[in-house]
Amino acid sequence: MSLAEAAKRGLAALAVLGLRKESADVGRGRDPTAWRCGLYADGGDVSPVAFGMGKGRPEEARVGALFEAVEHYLTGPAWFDSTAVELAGPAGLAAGPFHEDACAPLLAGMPGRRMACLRYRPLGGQGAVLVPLFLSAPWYVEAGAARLRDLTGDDCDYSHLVRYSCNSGSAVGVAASEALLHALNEVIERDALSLFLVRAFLSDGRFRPRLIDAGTLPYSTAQAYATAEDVTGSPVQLLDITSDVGVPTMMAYTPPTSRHPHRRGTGTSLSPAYAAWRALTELIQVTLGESLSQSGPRGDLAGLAAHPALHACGRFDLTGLLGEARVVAFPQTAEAGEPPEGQVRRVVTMLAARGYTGYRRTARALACGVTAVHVIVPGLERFMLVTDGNLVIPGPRGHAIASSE
Amino acid sequence: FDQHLTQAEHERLAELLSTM
Repeated sequence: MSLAEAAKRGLAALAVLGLRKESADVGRGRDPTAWRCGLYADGGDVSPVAFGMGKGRPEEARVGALFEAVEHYLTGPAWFDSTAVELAGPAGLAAGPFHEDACAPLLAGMPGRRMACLRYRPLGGQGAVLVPLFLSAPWYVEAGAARLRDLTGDDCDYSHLVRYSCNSGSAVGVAASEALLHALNEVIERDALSLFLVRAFLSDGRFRPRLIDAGTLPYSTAQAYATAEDVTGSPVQLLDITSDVGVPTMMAYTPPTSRHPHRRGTGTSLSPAYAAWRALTELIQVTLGESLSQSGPRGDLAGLAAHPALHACGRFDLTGLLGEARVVAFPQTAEAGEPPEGQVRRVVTMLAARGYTGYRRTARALACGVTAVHVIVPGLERFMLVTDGNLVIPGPRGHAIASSE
Repeated sequence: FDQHLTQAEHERLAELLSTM
């Protein structure tokens, strides 16, 4: 689907939802660049009801920002349907599909008996599962959501589980297949980043990252690379962090300095060139986005100080490790524009080959086709939350990596 | 883009760090 048609669908979604948007180019004419988009209720409050950022070529970034804002709105509390909630005992969840999850030890020991869950369908195979809502909805575990938790009959204490809550795996698309592909790739990307952290900082020191030779980048990727160096004011390292799942995953990285934390962008796609493009443009986006941030304590690593190894993960200083990197040429592959449905099937097959099953939930499907989904793959890691300052530990998958390196 | 481990997490982390 063309960007122009996608933009039309995005505007149709706003009309259905009774919202208006305010957008701006944060990169002020750069190419690639980043756009921001705030959504406001028609005739409503002056505060935005949702916010999103987009990256890439100017039009791609403008439309991407609109769609990310729509995603955040459709997966947020405004559309929460308490009647869809099913309650399950945390201990049972820890013994079921989530027995390989990093938060299983917390679930297993919880005193509550009724945890709010939503029903997910498997991507391939059979057997729906209940997934705890807190895993995908940080807003649900906050103090201000106590009324929502009462409404669902949830009696669990989330004061520790909140550390493992993030919206990763949520995505929106012009159709369900596109949303599913984005969500699956995002889950695989966060897992690959998490495993990279484990290898770099929690293993015995023999890890050698794969550093892409910048001289071998395709033209459009090289253009994004040059813009990333211009925006960050720093040499950029492009690393291949593809996990055993096998879907190409790239990370564009600059180290921490005395003035700012490390910066990174990551991308996952069956196309290595597109994965690199997403990584580099995300680095551009997060750097330009620093001027917009009102994140308060986020990224503050003080809470990790009691655990030096976790603090090292949070700081993410690869300076020493990059000196030992293996320099590799950018993977040259035939790039075919396979439709999202086919890519979803291939990615699901690659996950299954490693013993993992993805599960999906449709958060909202609008008449114009715009669809928001959440995907979870039990067993894959979300340890990358440590780089936000969250005190989390890897799950069994990360442990296995640490002990096998 | 308020931080202490539970006993179960402490044990898992200690087990992981013992591999280093």
